[in-house]
Amino acid sequence: MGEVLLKVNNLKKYFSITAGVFQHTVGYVRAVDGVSFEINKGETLGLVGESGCGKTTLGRTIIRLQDRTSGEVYFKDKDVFKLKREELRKLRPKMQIIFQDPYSSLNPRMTVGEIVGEALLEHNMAKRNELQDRVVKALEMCGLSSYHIRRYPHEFSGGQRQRIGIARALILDPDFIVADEPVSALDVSIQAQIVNLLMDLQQSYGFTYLFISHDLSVVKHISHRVGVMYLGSMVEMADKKELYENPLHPYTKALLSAVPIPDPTLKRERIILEGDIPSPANPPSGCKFHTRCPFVMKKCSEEIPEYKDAGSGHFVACHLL
Amino acid sequence: MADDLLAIHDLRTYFYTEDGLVKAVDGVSFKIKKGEVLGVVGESGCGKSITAMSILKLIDPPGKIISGDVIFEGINLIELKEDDIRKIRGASISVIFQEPMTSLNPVFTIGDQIGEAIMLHQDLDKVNARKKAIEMLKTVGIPRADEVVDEYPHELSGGMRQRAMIAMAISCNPKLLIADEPTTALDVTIQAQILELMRNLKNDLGSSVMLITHDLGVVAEMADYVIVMYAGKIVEEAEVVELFKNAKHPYTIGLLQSKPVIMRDEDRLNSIPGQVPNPLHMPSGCYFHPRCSHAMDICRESQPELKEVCEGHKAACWLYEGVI
Repeated sequence: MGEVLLKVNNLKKYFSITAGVFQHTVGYVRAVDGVSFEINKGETLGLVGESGCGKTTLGRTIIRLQDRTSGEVYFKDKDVFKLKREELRKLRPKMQIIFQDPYSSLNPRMTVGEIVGEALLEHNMAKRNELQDRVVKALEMCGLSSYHIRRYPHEFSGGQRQRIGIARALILDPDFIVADEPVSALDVSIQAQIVNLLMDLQQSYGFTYLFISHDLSVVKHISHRVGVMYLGSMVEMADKKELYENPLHPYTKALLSAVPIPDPTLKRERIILEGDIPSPANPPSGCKFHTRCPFVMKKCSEEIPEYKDAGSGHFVACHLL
Repeated sequence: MADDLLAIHDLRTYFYTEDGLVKAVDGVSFKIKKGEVLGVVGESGCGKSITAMSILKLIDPPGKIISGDVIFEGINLIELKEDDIRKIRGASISVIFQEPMTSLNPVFTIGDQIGEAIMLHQDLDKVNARKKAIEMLKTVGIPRADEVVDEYPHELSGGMRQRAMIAMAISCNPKLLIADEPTTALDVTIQAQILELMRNLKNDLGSSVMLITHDLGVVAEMADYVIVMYAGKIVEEAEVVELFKNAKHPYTIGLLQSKPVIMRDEDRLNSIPGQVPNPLHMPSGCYFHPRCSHAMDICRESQPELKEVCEGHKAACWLYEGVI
């Protein structure tokens, strides 16, 4: 693989739970609880997990949309949490995000031209007279047309709005894009259009993606490597092919077997997990998955399993191995 | 036929909005056999939920059922008075809604909400209705059922709420269960639990199920017979194995190809170009022709009828005109 673009080292993000009139802290929600990984240049890292596992918080924290609790994030060898205001401002255009909900992530009072062009002006990356050309170019790259520039978000369908969100991210010529569930709110036939667009843009411009989704089939399609999160921790990460064909962690196995496959003649053995995801404010001791794991041993509730390489870059945290 | 539980004939439900007429359901006919799971597939706005709500006359103005028959056990539900259809709702036909968060009443306990239907339709008193509610909660696999019965919806997780909804829906042993996107709001591991539960209940109770979903994977797993809807009309229908193996309508084929499959490797997804038409300005002829790669002149001019294209397999497409 090529050079490392982003390196995350033991990153933690806790949210405090407050109570009483004085709002003193009574506990923490451990949304991201000690996660380490790297993303290579030009690569798509898929991140899967169920709701509440911390994948969105992780995505937002590594581009410093919110502060960390501890740990480091190196973007091109610079620690993004140690940067001064002005340095961070210069770095912002290089790290962009596409949000999940195309309905709430666009300002309804701004035209598409203003939405897409705003950041260019903000970062002094374009003069006023060349702004329109740049915006039109970005819209066209995303399959929209120049006449859309004067319209408002409510005039567009979900898929088109997501294209506007993508145009807004790529007009700054970023290196790294966090795509946070970019297709989850869209219909199946439109999902395919957006997934294809993201892959085409990567081919042409060499973007690096962190693709966050709960849809394991979409993640498999778009990613080079895939990480699986459970309750704030990374439980497994490997090359796409390796992870889907040879999953090692019982949680990954259960997740994969739970995905419905559009083939009625196929009979599969299914692992059905018991119970719900525990609360991240009060995670289980030892391995966080031990309360739902079909292979639980005594050790699992006592010791936290180490997240280690099980061979050729296949990382997993499980006592079984 | 004797083994048909429900037969819908030429159902039309229109909405008279301020902007104009929306033909949400536009001449839909189908049957559900006893003990069968009928899968209804389509994208948002294709009329699948409105079809289900029309069966129970749960259409509020500006919507109106314009015409059609819904024959359930020999009775035409469309002609029933409000008082009479209330005896059927929740008793012989019940519904599981998509959003377990919003379809439970936040100010009543789970037990009250399940008990309400039981008291209404089974003539039990409060104490016995509560007992029955606990029993139903156990049936759907809720742990600590005797405590959960006194809890409020916000105290339960999404999967638990959906189980409580199912407990409510099956508490009066319905002959037909309408499940409107029952697992869409849930995570995959919880979805697997709920689907397993629905399958077991169907086998135990022998009910028929109308399963509405946009997820082709869920349909493949659960349904016996599938109808595909687009813009208020049925475009294709067949038995589940036939439909997945031998899809005929370009829309169905497009849908099947646009979803990546976890066990297959494909370089590029086949997407259906364009988007679902605006219901206020439907295209001429076949509603799908602006997005169809096989569109011919006739497709722009007149609408194809839903016809048998091979044995037990119907499609509404000009490509198959004159095949049989």
